Amino acid sequence: MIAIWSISLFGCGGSYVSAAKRALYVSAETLRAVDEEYADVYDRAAHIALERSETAQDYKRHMEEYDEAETTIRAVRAALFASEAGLDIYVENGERTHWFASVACLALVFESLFQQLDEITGLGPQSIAPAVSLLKAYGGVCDQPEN
Amino acid sequence: MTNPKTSSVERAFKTLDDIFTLGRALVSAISDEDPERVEEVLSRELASSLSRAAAEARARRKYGAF
Repeated sequence: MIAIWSISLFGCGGSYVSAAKRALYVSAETLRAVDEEYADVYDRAAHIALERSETAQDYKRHMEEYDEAETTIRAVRAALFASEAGLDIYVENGERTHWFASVACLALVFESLFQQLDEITGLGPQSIAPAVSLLKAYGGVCDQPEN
Repeated sequence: MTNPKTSSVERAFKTLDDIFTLGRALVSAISDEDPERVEEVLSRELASSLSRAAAEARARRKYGAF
């Protein structure tokens, strides 16, 4: 899968910008598919938690990890929107900004999401490895602030 | 939290089905001649966010203040 992806991205003489657009598109489609699958997982878990919890606190405790994954899905969606906006600015400014450096951070949030989902659903990171590999193909390191 | 009502076999089949669905979406996106914009692909409200909102509404009905 990764090989097919790499060929489709860089093997046909396309520019980095068009490859980046495709990377964002594939990532968005991946997130959409994951979101639809996860909605069912969340729904089932919520019904069981409601049935078994005596108090709101119990319910929240049961749903904690599911809620965290849902929050992460929203964060990845926001990150994809931001990346697309950044790419637009990059193109409008004659490709003189540092947009490509930010893609490493996008790959990082994607990896974080799928690690969470792996713990909950068994949908391991390997199932979306192509999306992460593709984003990482742009290189760069995501500089995280030190605590 | 694992659903004890769901057997490990059912869970394995569900996971395989999920992976297949994901794979299909990926292959479709890779082979698509004309990539859509992210804002088009993700224009609708997230399904998982809708599930969470509905679940929390049910919890509010059962427990009151939530």
